[in-house]
Amino acid sequence: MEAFKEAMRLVFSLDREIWQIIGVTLRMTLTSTAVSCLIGIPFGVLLGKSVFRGKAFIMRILYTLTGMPPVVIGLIVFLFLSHSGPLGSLKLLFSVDAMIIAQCLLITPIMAGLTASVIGINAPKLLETAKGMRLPGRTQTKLLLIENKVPLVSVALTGFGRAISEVGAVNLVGGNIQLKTRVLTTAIMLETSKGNFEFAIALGVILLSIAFIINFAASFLRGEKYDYS
Amino acid sequence: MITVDSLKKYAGNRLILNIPALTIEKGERIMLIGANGSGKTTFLRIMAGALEPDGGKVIYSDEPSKPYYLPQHSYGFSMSVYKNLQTALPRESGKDEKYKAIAGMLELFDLEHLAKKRGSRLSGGETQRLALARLLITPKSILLLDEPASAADIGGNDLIETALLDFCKKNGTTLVMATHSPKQALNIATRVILLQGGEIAECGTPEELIKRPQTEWGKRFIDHWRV
Repeated sequence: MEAFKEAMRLVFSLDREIWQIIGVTLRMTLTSTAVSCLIGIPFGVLLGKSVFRGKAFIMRILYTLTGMPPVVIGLIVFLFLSHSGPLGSLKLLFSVDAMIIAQCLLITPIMAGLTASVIGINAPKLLETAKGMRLPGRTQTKLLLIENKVPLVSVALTGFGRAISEVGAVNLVGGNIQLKTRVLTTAIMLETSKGNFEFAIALGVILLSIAFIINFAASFLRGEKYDYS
Repeated sequence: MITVDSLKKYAGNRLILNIPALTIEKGERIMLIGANGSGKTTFLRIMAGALEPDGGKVIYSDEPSKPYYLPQHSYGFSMSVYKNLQTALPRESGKDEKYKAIAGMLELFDLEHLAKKRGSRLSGGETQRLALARLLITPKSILLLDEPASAADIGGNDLIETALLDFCKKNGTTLVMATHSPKQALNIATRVILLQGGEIAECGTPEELIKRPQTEWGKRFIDHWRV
């Protein structure tokens, strides 16, 4: 209980390091989620609505990538960005950008796979109706997105949830450097290992609060107030 | 004119549709009847371009040649019924013109009280009325309809039948429609085609079918109509 009280004091103390950690976490998570949405959702929509030979194979690859261990992705990005790696000249290792790259690789397949599954459920019926009405291709795609607005917001949230809770890959490529690449998850891990439980709990409370606020905001986007009427 | 030439469709090794030749004149109203699995939907989907045939082709020789198609399980978009109808109108239509067309369809298909309701929240029969209203909101030269009133109640069936017949007569629309309703088939059709096992078993005017049904299924169909 004492630890929890101390954690609450830390949360509301506006500690400079805590705010810095929150800032890096939000920058990394929101950027990687946005980039993954921009790549994964259109790819998933295209995959979900199309029927072609080899689709099942592509879906299998996507599902395999979905289950890829974060540390493996972290290792691959580390090797590519390390001094002697093919992208070493970019000098991105141990930076927030490197963490964003790793997270994009981690969550883009998840978003693409989930989007393809979601779209695949109603796309055949919807598109047959829309094509039968001879609606232009752009209108058909727009309708497909509007009709799947709720599940697509959930897909984005799933990606966000995965990004904000990820620790293995960002730890590897970011290096958990104080006031530079330290994020909530890596900080919690570090403070726990040091026995600094108050600080770790404070960070955990903040992490949960951010996740709650984002989910709460997203529920408006999903239009949930209508769905339960 | 629509010409069907040596149309074939297989499901695995099984031939599910085999129509060597069929000509449909402009303005004809063809009713496709037959048991479940007789090939009505497959035929309509191939005609609409939603399904590729394994052999043969369908040629549309009149302009505008592209058919409009209403699938068996049509989709009510989750926007309001009013906006559903708006979707089907050309973007360049004026505001007043759009309003008039939509109001007309809402009244014709008894959807006025549902105008603000979401298309995805309608009952099966209401969805079918909405789907047909969306299609009939502007004149069409060729319509392909797959059981457009299968979920409608008696009132809905009558309403759809009247609206469809008026629309086709007014616009000179060529209609090919699958139905299980003897009343609908015999009231709307200029020609009835009975499909059996993917092949045309009977083809003639409604009067010919009533007087001289050639197949057992045709006799049963007429018996149902008499009842």
